[in-house]
Amino acid sequence: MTSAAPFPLNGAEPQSGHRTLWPGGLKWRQARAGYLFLIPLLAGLIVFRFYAFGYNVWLSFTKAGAFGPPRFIGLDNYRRLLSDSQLVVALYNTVKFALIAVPGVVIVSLLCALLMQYRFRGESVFRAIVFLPAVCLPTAIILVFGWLFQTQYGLVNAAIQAMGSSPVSWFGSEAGVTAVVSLIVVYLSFSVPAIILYAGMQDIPSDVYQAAMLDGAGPVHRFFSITLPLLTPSLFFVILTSTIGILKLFDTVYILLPPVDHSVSTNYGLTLVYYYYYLAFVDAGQRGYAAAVSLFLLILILGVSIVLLRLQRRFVHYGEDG
Amino acid sequence: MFASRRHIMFGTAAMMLASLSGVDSAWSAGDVNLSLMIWDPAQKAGVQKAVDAFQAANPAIKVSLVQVPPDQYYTKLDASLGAGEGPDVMWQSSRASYYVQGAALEPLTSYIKKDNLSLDGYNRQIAGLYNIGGEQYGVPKDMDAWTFIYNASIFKKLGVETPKPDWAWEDMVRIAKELKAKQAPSDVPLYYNYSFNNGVASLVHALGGKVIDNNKSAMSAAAGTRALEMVKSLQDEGLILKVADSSDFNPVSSLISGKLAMGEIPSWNLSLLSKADLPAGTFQAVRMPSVNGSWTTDTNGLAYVMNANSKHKDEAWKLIKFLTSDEGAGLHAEGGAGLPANIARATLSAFVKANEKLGGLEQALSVTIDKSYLRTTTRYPKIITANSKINSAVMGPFYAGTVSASDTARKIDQALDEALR
Repeated sequence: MTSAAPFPLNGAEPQSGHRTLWPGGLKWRQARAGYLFLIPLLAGLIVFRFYAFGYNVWLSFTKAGAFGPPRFIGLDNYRRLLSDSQLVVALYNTVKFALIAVPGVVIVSLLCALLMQYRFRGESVFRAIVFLPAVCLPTAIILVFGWLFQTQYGLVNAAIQAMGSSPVSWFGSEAGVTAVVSLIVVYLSFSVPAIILYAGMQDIPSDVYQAAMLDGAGPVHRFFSITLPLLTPSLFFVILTSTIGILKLFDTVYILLPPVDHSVSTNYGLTLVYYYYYLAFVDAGQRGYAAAVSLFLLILILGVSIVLLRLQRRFVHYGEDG
Repeated sequence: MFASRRHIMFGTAAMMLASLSGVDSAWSAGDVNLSLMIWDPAQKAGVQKAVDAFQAANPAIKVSLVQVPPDQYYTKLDASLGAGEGPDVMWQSSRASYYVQGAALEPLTSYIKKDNLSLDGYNRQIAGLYNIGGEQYGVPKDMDAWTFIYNASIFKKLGVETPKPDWAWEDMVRIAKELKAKQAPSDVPLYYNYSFNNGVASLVHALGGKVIDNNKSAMSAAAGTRALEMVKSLQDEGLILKVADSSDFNPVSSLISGKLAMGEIPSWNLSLLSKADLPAGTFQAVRMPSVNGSWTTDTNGLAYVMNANSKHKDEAWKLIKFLTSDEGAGLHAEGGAGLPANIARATLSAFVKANEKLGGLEQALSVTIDKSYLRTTTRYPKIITANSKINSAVMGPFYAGTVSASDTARKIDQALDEALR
């Protein structure tokens, strides 16, 4: 019995007697070129992903301070995770931002994708505005939002005062920080999902809409009965990637509530990645424990992804072929 | 064909080497290149001035000064020192002990002895900070001094009595109340550091108490609770900005803009005020107000230290010795940022002269330097890890009014004791 070549080249039969990678496979000399092209990528993966991940796992079992060799302490860092009140704060904030911002991103991007379907005056300007956050420097956007919401001199509070209301302490309360951070995250994150959803909408066959129209379905009915169900594969992708991205939220809270200030407001915006950064790189450095926190985040993301993938079977419609 | 290609390659390589040697031609064969790493952009001009004088006196030693943004300094330092590299000379703070444990710093005791350098010429507390396990690892560079700065033009405009050099806490509260009554509602009468480490803990020391006693947190003692209540009462009476609203409040820029009338300002920020585009004498300095007849302020200080892996240790020591000498510290002080830890009268005078737009600074600094107390995190580096948690998780609810002063003190004790273990 002979097995077929996995990647036959121009239908050529492998010559017997030559060294091959696998029975009936590519000739070694042919495959070697492929491996040579893979080396840079593999080297990067091994050094910056696999080694770094392995080192991080090892570090989580050590007491590693700001400087000096780490000392093995077994499961102490993981025991500490169970009684760390700051970790609870970071987890609460992370989940809270995800629960608010992910639906925000989905709704805003869906609305933008729908509007992009229509032809109207200023359509190209609208498309440029939608894609603007994706091409602007996130740091600059976050700083501008920070200035807009500044308590003393910010334009938002100036507008509120001009309308006769008291200024809002945007960074002095949990509600204020949550509102500003969620707004920035949604603004920074909706562009690419809007393009993905727009592309998904292009894949929906127009005859389905025509048939629905003949049956008397209005635009709202068409949206909920055709667009939304047939868009679920793209929506699932957007929800999954946005959730993972927002669970790793760092830059927005780091720039709005910088660690050097040790602000009393820091706890309102402390996320798991910010807490990891704080432990690892600010003040005296607790890198061993920080590694354990990062692995906790990994498990959280893994868990959320598994739940979403399970839900996918029930809610995502891949069509007759899918 | 193949040979000619090889010739071309060799020729190109030779040309590249030749061009590189051309770049290096400005340096003579015996030159030593030292690297010096600092973090404060405000101090770069002063350090560069001292470095220039050092290079002029030592033409065979070239120093490249690198200023790394403060929040990246230790990350970069850790990575480079961990790899056995890093700058020859660098700044260190209360984290020095971690680097000593990691064998990254060169003990300087033998160099000090060899050159008969007397550490009596430096603030004793700061010099002691870098004596770890009987070895001296750093020569003091600067020290912190917290003084009160008030905007005299605001006081004149509002017709409010200005703070006097011998003022007390009650005077500060009275003046702040008077300012509040006459200022616009959006203006702020007073800034007092409300954070745990630089504000409340310093007040505990001024009250004659201790934050840590016998290696155990003592915030629940009378002075600790009293200090917490005193700072919170400033907020509750509307004399300082509500702490929850202060995360984006900058006292220095608010003093300059006239939004803030007076505030507690650290020495490293004084140059920002003196360089402001305002007439001389707009800002006046006085010492911190006394409490119950006594007063003190917390201090911290940086030192120049040497990389244990430096390839030019003798030259690095020469640089450290010069930068911290009367001449080097004086030149640095002329930059206006960083109060020298070198206690020669001339260095303080140079710092005062560089900030001469701030009236009363010399007197305010002189008495402050004499009455300084080592900052809690400086004296006990182990509690640095608890500091952020105390500020955000413990002090936040306290200032919000949901936790009492005694319960807050107890929570601080728990956090500090946990870090001290």
